[in-house]
Amino acid sequence: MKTLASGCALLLALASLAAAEQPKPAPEKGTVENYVQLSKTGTRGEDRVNTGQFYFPRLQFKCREDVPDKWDIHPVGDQKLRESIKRLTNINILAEPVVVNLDKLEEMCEYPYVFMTSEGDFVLPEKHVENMREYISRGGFVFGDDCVLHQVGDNFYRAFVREMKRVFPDNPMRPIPEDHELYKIFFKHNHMPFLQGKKNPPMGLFDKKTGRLMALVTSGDLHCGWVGFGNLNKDECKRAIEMGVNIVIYCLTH
Amino acid sequence: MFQWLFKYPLQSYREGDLGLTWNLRPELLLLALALAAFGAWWLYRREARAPQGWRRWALPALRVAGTALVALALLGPVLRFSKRDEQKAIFAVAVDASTSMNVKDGASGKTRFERARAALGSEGKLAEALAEFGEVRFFTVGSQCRPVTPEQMAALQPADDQSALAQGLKELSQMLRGLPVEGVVLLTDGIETTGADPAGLARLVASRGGHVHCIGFGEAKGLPDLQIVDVRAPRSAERGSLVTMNVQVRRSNIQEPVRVRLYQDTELLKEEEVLFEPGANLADARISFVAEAEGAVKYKVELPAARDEQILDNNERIVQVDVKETRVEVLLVEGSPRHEYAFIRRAMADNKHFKVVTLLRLGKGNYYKRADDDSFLSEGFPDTAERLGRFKAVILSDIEAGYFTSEQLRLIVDFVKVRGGGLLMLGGVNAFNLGGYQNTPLADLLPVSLAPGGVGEAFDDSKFQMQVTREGAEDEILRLSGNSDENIAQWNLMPPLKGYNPLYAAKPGAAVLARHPQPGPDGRQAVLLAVQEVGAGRTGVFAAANSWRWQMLRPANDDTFRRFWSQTIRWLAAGSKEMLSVGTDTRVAGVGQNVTITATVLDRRHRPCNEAKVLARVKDGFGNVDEVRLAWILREEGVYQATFRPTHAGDYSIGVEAQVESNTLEALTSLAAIETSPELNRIDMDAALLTRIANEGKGVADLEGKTDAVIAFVREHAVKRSRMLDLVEEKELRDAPILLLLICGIWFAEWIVRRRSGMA
Repeated sequence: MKTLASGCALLLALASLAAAEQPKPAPEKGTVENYVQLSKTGTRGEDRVNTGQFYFPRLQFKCREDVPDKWDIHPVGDQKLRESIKRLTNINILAEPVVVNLDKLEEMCEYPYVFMTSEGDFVLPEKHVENMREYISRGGFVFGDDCVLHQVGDNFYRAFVREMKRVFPDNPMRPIPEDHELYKIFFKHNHMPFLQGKKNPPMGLFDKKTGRLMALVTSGDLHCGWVGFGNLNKDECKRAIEMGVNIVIYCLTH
Repeated sequence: MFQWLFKYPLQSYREGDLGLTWNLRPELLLLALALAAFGAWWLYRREARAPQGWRRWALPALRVAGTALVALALLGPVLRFSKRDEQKAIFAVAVDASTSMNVKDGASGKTRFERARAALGSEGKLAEALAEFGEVRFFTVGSQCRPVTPEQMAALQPADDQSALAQGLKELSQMLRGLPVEGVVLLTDGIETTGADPAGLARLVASRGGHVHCIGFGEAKGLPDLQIVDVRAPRSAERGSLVTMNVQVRRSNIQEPVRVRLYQDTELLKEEEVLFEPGANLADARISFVAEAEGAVKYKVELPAARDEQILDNNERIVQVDVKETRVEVLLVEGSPRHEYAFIRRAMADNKHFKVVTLLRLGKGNYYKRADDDSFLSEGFPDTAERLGRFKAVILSDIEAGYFTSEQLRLIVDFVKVRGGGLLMLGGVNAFNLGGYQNTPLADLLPVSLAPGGVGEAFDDSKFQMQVTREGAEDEILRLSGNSDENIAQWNLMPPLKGYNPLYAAKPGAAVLARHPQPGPDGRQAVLLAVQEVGAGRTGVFAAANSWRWQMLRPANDDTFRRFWSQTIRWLAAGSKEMLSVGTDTRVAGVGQNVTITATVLDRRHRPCNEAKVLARVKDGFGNVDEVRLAWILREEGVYQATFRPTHAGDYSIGVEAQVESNTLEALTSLAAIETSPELNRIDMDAALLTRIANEGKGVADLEGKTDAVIAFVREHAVKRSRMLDLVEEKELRDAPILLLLICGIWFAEWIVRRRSGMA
């Protein structure tokens, strides 16, 4: 009897051990957990703003269900850009990933710079339109980059421009001229790098009074260039990182 | 014939005595004559052909005689007549003719002056009563004492802008010197505006046997009145900036709420209630407004008339402020790109008054260069006093001390202490002790001590709500509202900051404007915002690192962050000295009042210059220009002064030009001249003073405008005093023809004798 009991206990222990060793299911795409897990380290950092330190937060927004890669796509690209900024500039950038939600204005406003990407079209709910308007009006900066659906699309790019017109109906986005300071502020470039997708001019939302760039969107998939996918041109990937640095420096100096 | 030659008839010479206006002692006169005789004789001895015979004596004698006659004419020969005369006792009646006597505060509805005049004549019959005992002479006292006839008194209207009672008594005593003054009767409200003490003069009159009586007119207390005692306003302000005036208000017998209004021309800019402490009749009201108009702007401060208030002339005051629109440069030195930099720059981008020039380090020797920055900034922080002196203030934002050379640190010290610039250090991981400033010359400038024990060891990046101190609530940097309590309430609504350098030890001269809400390890609350004056300049610390949160975490239309930075930078830059700064000791002067123009001149190194040539051109409203040279005042380095006197009411512009080394510096200021009257500063009858004058003058005082007491006193004490006076009348003889004829005759005779002697 004792032997039977011992055998049962051993079986149970083995079963529980086996259960413990089973890998957890991968987080669902489009969730914060997915973005964080795919990054090296970090948590959502609401209370982690240090002086002089710069965060490169990813903006969580409502994507369409049929879009394969949502707002949290390729967080490693963000991570690589952060590392590049730390290596190439004296900006005190934080390595940990941060996610801010467009649904929570006050949380979003803790970070005056946000990065926004996805592969497909999106339509912002009215509350998000209002939040975006208030965020930018307070001084926030939004950088949008199209992650290029099937390496050819520009759905995100077009949606961004369209939705921004909802945000500021009387101040639509305009093409960023090639002599804009953005291209020369740190690294010297003549145009926006293009990795893949459709060649569209980078579009900017300009402050009517001062001309300051408040938001911009690119269609050339800079973000995939930051990741450094093998199918992409190495030099263009390098230029994508340099342009990413330029955009951050522009935000921190204007 | 005699009278023609000697000017007066022979009888006059028989009755009178000859004398001289200049009474020389006889021995001196003889000595002078002897010297003249010797001189004449000696001169003739020196002639090439000395006179011989009788001429030897006649010629010097003629010359001495001629000279003596000229001297006699110069000494003023007179004919003196002595006589004895009876002089009646004198009663001097002095009526106050200052404008305060126009006040109607009696039951009769008449002015104080009208009642005084009635007391003299139809009602009080004072003049008639006094005339029984002596001669009555009438005077008015005001800005000066004047004798008047009864007819003039009847037609007089009080218009003097001062009540110089003491001076009036003094002048009256001088006019009546030597006469038997039985009494002086003052009919006045007792308002002495010069600060002198009339009682002392009354004592003097009494010491000579007279009596000084006072008849008072006016309410001793009870007349409702509001008065602007003083208005303090900045001499100049930036256009669009918030200007604050402090208005000192006095109320008398008024309980209703008092309001103060500020007008520009006829436009009402602001209205505030004057808050008196319980039982107090003096209060300060603060009026803040935005200076919109440019130029020498006149603002009118006015107290609306209270119920039954009669004196309204003291309810308003004109103040002039030079409103300028200049964009002064402030240097922001930033250690690395961060949001704080971008947000401050944005806040100041469209500021009309300040241009924030930025020096942003992107890497070693690599600076972010804005298109509108001067090229020298691309090489880093300015390395000469002249280059640094271009700025009015420097802000060090999260940049370590090691970035600066020791010479640059010394330049910053001079920039603050000598040039009068502003220095602000912001919080950050490279600021204060974390940036290695504790053993640098800059540590001495800051309003907090960086010594061990005064500073926390690490940067604290927790969230906290800035706590504005009472002093901070009153300060221009943190002013969001004119009311201190509202100000604190508004700051308490602001989102929390995040990250600060724990600084615990404010220096003794520092003003702590804001603190951390929680006590530190040893129970002290950390200083977040503190300021102090250092030498000629100003310094401040703002230990928080992320003030941009006030912008991002408030609605987009909230401009608190922008106001905070504008006000901070304005405060920092305000103390900065110009190479040539010019001012006057008053912005609104009375006509005829001395105005001192002061110019401070600096050389290229921003040190006071004592060798400049400074000239002021004072231009009045009609275009007339007076040039006034300013002189170095010796007791203060680089300060030059001169005075001028406005001759008529109106605006005066004062352009000052200074030649310093090879440079010509120019600056402009202005002044308004007005007709002033200190008369209405106080309108209640000063019963105490009148009583004291009467006591010291051994007379009586009646404070109800009645003459009975004075008349009774005179009747009781006055003896029909008259006295015999030895009078001497002098008649001039200098212009008697005989004198001229004699002088001419003697000189002619001398010439004839000389000619006959072959000497001419």
